[in-house]
Amino acid sequence: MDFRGKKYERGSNWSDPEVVELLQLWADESVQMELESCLRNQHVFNRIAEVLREKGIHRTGDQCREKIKKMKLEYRRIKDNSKAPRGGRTWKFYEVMDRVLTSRPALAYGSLSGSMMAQQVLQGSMVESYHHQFAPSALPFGHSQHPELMEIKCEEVNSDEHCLTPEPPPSMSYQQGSPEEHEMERAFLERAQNDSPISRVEIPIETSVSPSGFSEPNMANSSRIQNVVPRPGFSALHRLRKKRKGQRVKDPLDDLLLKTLTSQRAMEERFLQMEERRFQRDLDVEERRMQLEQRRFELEREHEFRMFNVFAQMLSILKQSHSGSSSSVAMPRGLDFSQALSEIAGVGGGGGDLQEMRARPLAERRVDMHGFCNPSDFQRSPYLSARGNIANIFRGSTEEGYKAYHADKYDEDKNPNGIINFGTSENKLCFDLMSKRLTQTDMNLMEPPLLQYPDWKGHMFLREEVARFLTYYCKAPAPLKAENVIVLNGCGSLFSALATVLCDPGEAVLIATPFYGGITQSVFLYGNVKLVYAYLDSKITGTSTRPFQLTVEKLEKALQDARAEGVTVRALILLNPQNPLGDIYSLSELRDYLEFAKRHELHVIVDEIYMLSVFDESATFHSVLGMDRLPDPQRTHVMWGISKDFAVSGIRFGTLYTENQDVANAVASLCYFHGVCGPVQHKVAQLLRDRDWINQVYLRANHARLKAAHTFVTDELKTLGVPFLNRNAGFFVWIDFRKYLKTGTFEEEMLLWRRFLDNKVLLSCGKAFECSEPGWFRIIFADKTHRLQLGE
Amino acid sequence: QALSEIAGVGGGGGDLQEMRARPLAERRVDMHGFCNPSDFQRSPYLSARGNIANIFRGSTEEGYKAYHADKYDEDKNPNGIINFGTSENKLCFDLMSKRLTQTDMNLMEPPLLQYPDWKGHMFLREEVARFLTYYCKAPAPLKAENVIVLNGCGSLFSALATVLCDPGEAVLIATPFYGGITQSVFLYGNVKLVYAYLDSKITGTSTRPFQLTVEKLEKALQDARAEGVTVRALILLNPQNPLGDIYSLSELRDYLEFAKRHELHVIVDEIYMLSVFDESATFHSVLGMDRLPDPQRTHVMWGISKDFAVSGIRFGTLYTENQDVANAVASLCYFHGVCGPVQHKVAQLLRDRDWINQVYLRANHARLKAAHTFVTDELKTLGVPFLNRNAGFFVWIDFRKYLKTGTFEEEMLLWRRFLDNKVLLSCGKAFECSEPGWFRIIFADKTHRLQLANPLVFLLLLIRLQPCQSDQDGKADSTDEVIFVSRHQEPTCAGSSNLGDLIGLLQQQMRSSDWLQKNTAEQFA
Repeated sequence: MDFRGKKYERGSNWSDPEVVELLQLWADESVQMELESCLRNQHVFNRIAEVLREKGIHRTGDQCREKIKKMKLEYRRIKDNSKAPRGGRTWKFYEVMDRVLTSRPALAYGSLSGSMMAQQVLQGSMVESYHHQFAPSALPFGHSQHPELMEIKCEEVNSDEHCLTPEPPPSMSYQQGSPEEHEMERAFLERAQNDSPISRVEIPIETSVSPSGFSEPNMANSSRIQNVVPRPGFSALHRLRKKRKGQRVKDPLDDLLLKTLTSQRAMEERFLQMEERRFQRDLDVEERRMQLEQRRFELEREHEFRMFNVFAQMLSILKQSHSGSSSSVAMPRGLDFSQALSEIAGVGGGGGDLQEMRARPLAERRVDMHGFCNPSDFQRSPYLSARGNIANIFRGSTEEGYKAYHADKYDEDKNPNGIINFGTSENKLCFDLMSKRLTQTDMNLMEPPLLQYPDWKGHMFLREEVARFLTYYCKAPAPLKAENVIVLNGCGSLFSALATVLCDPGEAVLIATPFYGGITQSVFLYGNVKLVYAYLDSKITGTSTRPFQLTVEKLEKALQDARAEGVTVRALILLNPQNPLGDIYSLSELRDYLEFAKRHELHVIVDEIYMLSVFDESATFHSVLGMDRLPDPQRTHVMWGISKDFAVSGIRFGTLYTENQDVANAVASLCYFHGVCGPVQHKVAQLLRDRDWINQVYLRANHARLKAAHTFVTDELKTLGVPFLNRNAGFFVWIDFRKYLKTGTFEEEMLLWRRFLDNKVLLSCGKAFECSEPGWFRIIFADKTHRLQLGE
Repeated sequence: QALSEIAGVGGGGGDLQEMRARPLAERRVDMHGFCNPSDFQRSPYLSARGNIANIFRGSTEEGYKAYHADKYDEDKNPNGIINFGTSENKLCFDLMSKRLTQTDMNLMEPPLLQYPDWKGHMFLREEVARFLTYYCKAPAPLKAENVIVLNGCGSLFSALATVLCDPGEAVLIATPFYGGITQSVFLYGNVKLVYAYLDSKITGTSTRPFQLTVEKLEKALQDARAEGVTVRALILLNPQNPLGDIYSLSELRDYLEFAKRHELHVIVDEIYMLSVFDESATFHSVLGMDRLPDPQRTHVMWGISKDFAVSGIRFGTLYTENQDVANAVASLCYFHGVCGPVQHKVAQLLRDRDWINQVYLRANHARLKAAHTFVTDELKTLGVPFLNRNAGFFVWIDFRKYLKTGTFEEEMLLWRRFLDNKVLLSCGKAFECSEPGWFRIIFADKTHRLQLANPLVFLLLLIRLQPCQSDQDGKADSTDEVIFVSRHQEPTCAGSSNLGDLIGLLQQQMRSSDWLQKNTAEQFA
């Protein structure tokens, strides 16, 4: 897994101001000299890219090099083809290129200033950003740089004074340099080139953080004195350059500089080595992060376009499947979605099928658990037990789309025609924030207790932290207790463990459909526990006020049906916020469900894994842990994890809160199979403890990004005339494609799903959520951010 | 000179016969360890198996729990319980925390923060394949596709048992063995273990105590089948826990051929493979064999918790050529996931061959050897017989002569007496050992803690528990593989009734004298 060293060939989309910035840096004398003096100039371009990024221009070193290469080619072409001076004028950068390349490497930055293009394009805003780049806080060594220097420099850009001090070509002064100094510089360059790949990265960065490397000529003229003060970590190479210039101009101050430098040379050399080593670590990490951030920006720039394509594609797919009926006209504006966007009315062909499904005996329905896979297709393995074969089937079916995705993953560069994953419920909007937070120094702890076997319920420090965290965010009326907290490696594991300790094989748990289908395998694979469904539908009738509304009557009905068939139901699962609907239950609804469970002595497993992903202030989430009084506290078990709310599904951490010590202990004994690494427990505790960061930084950004992404997707859907449920929680939108199914069957839904997949779009179809009406799909919107966030 | 083996003699024989005579079904109920289910208050909130899980926790964790409640700490709790029960290498935390905090470890790239392939990130599986190829001396490079990564070998036992056996079916294993396997295969999988009982007597084809032979495996398998139990697999531990045995290539081949004859899967647990701390012993991985008798039924597991002294980092791995098994296990891996950033760390660790070979393994083996020597020297001085082996973190000790009647009840009492006196050991019953009186002690702890406990423990033993058998001299038996040093006079103490006082006195003496200074860790490092 090497995230570094990626080559970016693209470089065509440079704007003029960006090119000007690039040219300014590239044309700088010291840069030209460096480019000339070394065979491998990648680090120089990396440095340029570095400075550009500080100005808000996000390019990699490779892109800069490519651009310069192209410009050089263009320059040669123009020069060779049309010798006429007019030919040069047609290309606005010709003059600059010409100056630099003809006098190379004698040209200083200042010589650009008189050119028409600098006057044309160099706007105040750019000057400002230039200042900003040298702002002390932005740079490790910035404190020695004064903004005034830059101001002087920028003023010079617009004056003609610079021409009054024509300098001899540096290449000559290079030769003039004293032998030892020559030695040193060569040694420096050699080291830079011969070092291991890792240390090679560090050198350009170190030099690049010292902005004076790009602005020496000006400083030599105007503010040299300030540079005399030796700065720690300042590149010896640039130090030497300054010295040479000093000799050239014969400024008395330069003598002082020379002496200072000579006396400090040896010391600095040693110091430099130490610094290099020290910085290597930090910078290496920082460099990776920066590269990633840059990558993120680049990706997002094209996100909107991509999304547009995807939706256009989806539309065409839908049109195909709808065929005949709505020929050339845009989507029939079925349902008054434009007016009542927050809800959709359940209309369409699904009804009949639903009735039919309900009529089927429960037992048969429960066989459907295996999803779209038909077990009879499956070759039974002689090596596996019966349940081993089922595990194999499960993998085969539920992972079909996921597997196809993994085999042909979309990648901007490597696989632009790959499958785009709108199926996996993952928040990809906050990796930047999370990887930054998780690499801070407080995270990287490896104390012996963390490396030893822990209490299988989790380290006490983490359980205490979880209790405090839940008390705060669930607004618990009284502090929650650490003894009631159990920590394990994800909520899937928790479902498995709870199902096992609450139910015996063949017993069942009640759940309302549609629901996150992963629960089926979580309770079944190890536990051999089945789910009994309370089917919800999109019709608004009787007591319900919204589509797919969960009511106690429906729960009662499902429970009675199951009992009539001899199925023992032990528990009820509630998802809040609901996946895939995005519903949030009101306090009174919650109380009704819990009272229902109490009446029937059912355990209630409340999955609140999206609790902090409610991204609109208009919606208020109520945790059952925040209720004044639980109807049946000994049978109420609450789960939460960080994978969704903290956008880190790769960090396996889930937690159970239950007052029932029998349940806690029995689950703890299964926790042996669901252990979380000690060092990860430390990281999670640190994360949950950092209330300020969570509230001020993370949640704000996360909610804003989620909201923007949600708005973008829902706007697209509105434009396409596709009905959907408009909710404020989770990463998903529940979309109604029923009108695109001719007969309204699950076979058709499956075909549509496959057609999406064939067209490189992975969605989740309603069947995967055991939805009772064919034609519903879940789309994940928390993919990449689009331009809206870039402005933040 | 002949310290390497002990001859199995003593009162255990009768009990063993009795146990063997009991029907297998009944024996398998013993699985719950020392806990008597009837003592247990059934919880109305839990399912039947939920209650069993609760029982399991209640019993196997008894000592562990007591330990956690009253942990020894040099400064804070100098009279706390010292843990010689948990098989953990505590000798190398310095090396490991240093290595694991180096900058290459602390990576948080987006792919690491996303849902991975549940078999593990490919970069890690590739690294594991290279690592095992090298350290198992595989004849051909092992393939990353055959590697599955999850959060520990306990989880792996659970997953394998589930996909290889249906509920109520069984897996064959030789006793004594690491007892955690019992709950690993049972709690989720509802798979039972069928035991091939080994004993300390050297008879017939065996050349060492507790030697595993194909005859014994055959016998156990036939017995189980006669009782209508379906046996699906054989578990081999190599190096063996708690014996410390390492199997020779020919032994391994015999076991694997036996399994092939009976179409049994073989689960080979090699989790201590790099903890062979003496050059005189050579470990052979089944992955290093030129030809596996039944490659589609051979599944090898390893993890870093033991060999890299980091039991807190949950990482185990399965190598199997059987793709059906791999896929079925992978679908259970959803419940046994390893954090992405941890997968990165482990890959970095396994990749650093130079550090492993030049720094880590050298230091680890030297430290293990020193600690082992310390404990075994102590045992020799005290005249307590034990198995002298070169692998793992444990010594298998024979306390049979301190049991009056030679029953497991007595063994249990002795274990509790140790615990009451702040020393947590593991008794033979926890390993389903057929002879009462055997104990496992973990030596891979800091030497000062060993020093603090050992003289105490054994002084205590010698004072409190006079050997019961009169004919001690006969015990030396014929074999030259005997350590038996108990003939010298044990110190007697009239006022030994109050053990607490005695211990307090001893501890006081040790702390006030320069005993600890004289016996520093450096001496043994």
